[in-house]
Amino acid sequence: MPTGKDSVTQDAELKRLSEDWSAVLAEQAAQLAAVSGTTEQEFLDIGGRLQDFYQRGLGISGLASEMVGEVAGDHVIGAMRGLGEMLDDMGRYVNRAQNEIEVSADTLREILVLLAKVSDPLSGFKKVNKVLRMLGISTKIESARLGQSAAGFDTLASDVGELSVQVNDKAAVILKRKEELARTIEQTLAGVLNSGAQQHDQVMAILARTRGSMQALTEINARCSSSVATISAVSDEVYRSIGDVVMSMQAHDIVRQQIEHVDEALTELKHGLSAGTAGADTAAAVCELQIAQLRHAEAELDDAVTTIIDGLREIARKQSGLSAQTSSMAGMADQTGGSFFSEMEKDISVVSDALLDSSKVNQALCVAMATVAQTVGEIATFVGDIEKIGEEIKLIALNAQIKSAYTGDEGAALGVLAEAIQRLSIDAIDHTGAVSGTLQGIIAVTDRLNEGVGAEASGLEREVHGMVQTLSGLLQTLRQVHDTLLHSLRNMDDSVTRLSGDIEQVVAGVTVHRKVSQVLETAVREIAGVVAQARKIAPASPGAGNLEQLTQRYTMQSERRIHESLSGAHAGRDASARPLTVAAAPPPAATEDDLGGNVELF
Amino acid sequence: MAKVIMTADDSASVRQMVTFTLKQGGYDVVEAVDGKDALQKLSSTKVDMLITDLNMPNLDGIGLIKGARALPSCKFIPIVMLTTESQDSKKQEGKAAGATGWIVKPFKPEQLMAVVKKVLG
Repeated sequence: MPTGKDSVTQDAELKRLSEDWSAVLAEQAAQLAAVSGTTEQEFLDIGGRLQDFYQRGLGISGLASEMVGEVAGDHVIGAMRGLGEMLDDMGRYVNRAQNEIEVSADTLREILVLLAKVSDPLSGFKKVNKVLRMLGISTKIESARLGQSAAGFDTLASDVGELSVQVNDKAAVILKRKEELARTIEQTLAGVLNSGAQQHDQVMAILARTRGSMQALTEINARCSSSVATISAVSDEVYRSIGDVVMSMQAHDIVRQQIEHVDEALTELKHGLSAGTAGADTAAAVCELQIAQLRHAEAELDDAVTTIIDGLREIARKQSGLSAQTSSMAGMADQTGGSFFSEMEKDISVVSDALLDSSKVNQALCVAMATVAQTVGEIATFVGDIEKIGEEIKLIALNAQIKSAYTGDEGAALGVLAEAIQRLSIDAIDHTGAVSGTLQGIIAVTDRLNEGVGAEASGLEREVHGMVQTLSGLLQTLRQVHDTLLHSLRNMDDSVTRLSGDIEQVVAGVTVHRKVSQVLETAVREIAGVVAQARKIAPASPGAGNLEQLTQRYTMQSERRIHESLSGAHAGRDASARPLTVAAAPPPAATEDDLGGNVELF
Repeated sequence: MAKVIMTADDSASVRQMVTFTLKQGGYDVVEAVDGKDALQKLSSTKVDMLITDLNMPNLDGIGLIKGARALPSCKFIPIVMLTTESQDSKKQEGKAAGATGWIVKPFKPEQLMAVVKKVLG
């Protein structure tokens, strides 16, 4: 027990300390009042940006939906159907073209064989010509020997000689034309076979690749058709992140109230100390409680701001992920132009070129056949000429025979010569018959081929032009889809980049928790100094310090829990061992109607 | 036509989040900074629902509910308290004044929307 002198000294000391504590509490109350009233604008700024980010996030999700809608839309489905039909048409076309080439090649080979058969009869004309010339000379000699009685035989010999020269010339022309035609056919044959093989291999390779592309397009289409759920899931996740941020944004109001209540408690304590109604024990107890409230407020705010920052970053991350996922789903590898659609466009261009080339091959075949027909026609004309010459010679020989009969015995030799000439004319006619027969065979084969090729070429050409036209339409559709996707992708990437940048900028500028923390830490340190001094005078004891009146101003369950926690400690434990913070409140349990444990409908 | 909901709260950041949430749900929102401001606006603006804080300067949430219920246009509209307060005695006080429901802050946007949809039908 202190003596009377000691008691006076203690009272003086308490009075001096009370004045110091009052100054500290006044200063800290003012600081707390200031910090609770000036931080809202920063929250409002974040809230304003949050609404902007949310709207932009909706825009990005909308773009993603548009992109997958474009790929899964009628345009692409129509193009896919068209492409499928086109592949079937091309398959049929390739088979027909290949068959046509084989038939043409066989026919041309047949013509070559027939042309070779013309060589023998043509060499027969040479022999006829040679003998005719000899017979003509013999006729001239015999005519000269007989003199006047054989008048006219000389002219006859000259005529035979001229006709034999004509036979020779025409036979030479026929031979030359025949050889030219054979060369043309061999060249055409080589060209048709070569082009046909190349075309066939090329088209088959492209067909295989295009079928692969179509399969990929079908997969992309299916992926995009089912990706609405994916986009919706991402949107839900973004909405959840927004929800977390919205929830944490309310922490400002909660923390503000808690700090205001501390401010009020400190001001009230200051008045109590000044008025002498509050002693060291009350000062220590109230201050310990306010330290716990401030630490709780600081932790709450820190958690809330961390959640806001994480939530905002999560929004940016989700939207970036959505952008990349959508690009991949839509078959767009990147925005530099490399994409599934541009590859397909290239393939289809090659297909068009191959089809047009095949049309040219068919046209070349038609030209070759026309050349065969024309040349064979010319040869036939020459053969006809030779046949006429043969007939003429035959008549001349007949006349000569009659004339030699009139001449009597002296003209017997001329009769023999005329007979020989007649036989030769028959030989010549036989040769022309042989050549004509062969040529008729060639003409028949050529006409057949010409007719076939002409009809086929015309049909194939129409088909090729139809296919090229359809492919052009498909190309245009795919190009439009590609351009739209590229445009959307660029928009989406730009939006995501700007959104991420803006979010990072906002996040980097969030300093409210640090500013508040600084003030609260200073307050806690200063108030803890008061507690330390007060507890030297009035050590903690159960039931000491009336804290009941403080509960009247609490508006939050967390404040009450902290109060109860410390009051309990005051009542049953050594104050020096008690913690200055309390655990956070457990999350409210969900109610039956799933509105949440913090909701009650009356 | 979108339904109109009034939010009365002295915290601008809470009003901002309530407005943000409700507008996302397609509602029109009228803001009031305290009970007095809310009552003044209610006398001239028809609203379909009122969401109010409890502790506000000038006129608190209980006073606002009583005042609103006295207005013919607000007699039957849903009024939900949105407050940090969770004491049963306060809830009973709110219920007696005419509150339809009670939400303890902080709220989740989907929670608020679920409550609004439920009470507005």
